[in-house]
Amino acid sequence: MISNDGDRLDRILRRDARATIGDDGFTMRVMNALPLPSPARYAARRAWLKPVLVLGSTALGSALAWLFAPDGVNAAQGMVDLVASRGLTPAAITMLGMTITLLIAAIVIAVDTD
Amino acid sequence: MAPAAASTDAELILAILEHEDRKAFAELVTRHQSKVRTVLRRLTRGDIALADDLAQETFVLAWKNLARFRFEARFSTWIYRIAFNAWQSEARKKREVNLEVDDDALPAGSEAYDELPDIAARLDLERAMATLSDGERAAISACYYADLSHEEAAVALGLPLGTVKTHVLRAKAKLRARLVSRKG
Repeated sequence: MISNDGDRLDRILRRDARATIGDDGFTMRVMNALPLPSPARYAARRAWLKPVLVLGSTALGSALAWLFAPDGVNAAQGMVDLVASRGLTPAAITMLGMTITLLIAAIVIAVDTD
Repeated sequence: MAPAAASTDAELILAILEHEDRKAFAELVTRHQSKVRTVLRRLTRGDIALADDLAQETFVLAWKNLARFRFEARFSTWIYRIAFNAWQSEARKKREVNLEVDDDALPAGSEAYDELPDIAARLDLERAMATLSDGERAAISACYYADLSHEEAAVALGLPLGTVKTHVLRAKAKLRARLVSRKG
């Protein structure tokens, strides 16, 4: 910013500089020329997706297994049966299946280095 | 989240740095495109196509290097520096850019010219600007069209402060003389 307001040439230059250029698609042109998001950054932004999918599908499978299990099967009974070494009761088998499924899902997520 | 038009440049830059927010960058481009393109048109002696190519290059470079932006300076100062560098690089491909002070004599000044009453007068100014040396044109573009202080212009152009002041004085003297001779 030049301070000498009394100079006519200053005023001429400032007036000329104030003229604006309409966008006329220039911003869109620039946006189209920008590099695509880097794959690493894209993957990092969606890092949460895989655990959610694995654990979600496991939880859903467990819920369905529980829903369609024989009557009288419940988690508490299954735990009691397992603790009492009665591993072949329906409740114990259901509980064991859910535990193993969740364990496998956790291992898959833990060893996934992508 | 769409960037609000009322967001400051700094807020938009933070949104870009934290979320790679392209809408925020588009808002920045929209805000600054007119000035950047005007400056580059002056630097390229009115070559609109080249000026717009350089302006596009300037904004793409700004996007790539935004993490290096220091918030002490205005974004506009920073973007003009990139624009000046882009222009110098382009000019060097064709010929050697000389931003040093020329030793040619200063034309005599006069106050007998009008103040841009019409398009013809504006064209006169554009032609007069085209006759300046690279350094003079760069200094005038920085100080008037980019609205930078002498100090900011010196930083943006990578020139000593004294050289910028000399360029501005000489350029104004030449412009006065050119505008007078065209009017006469």
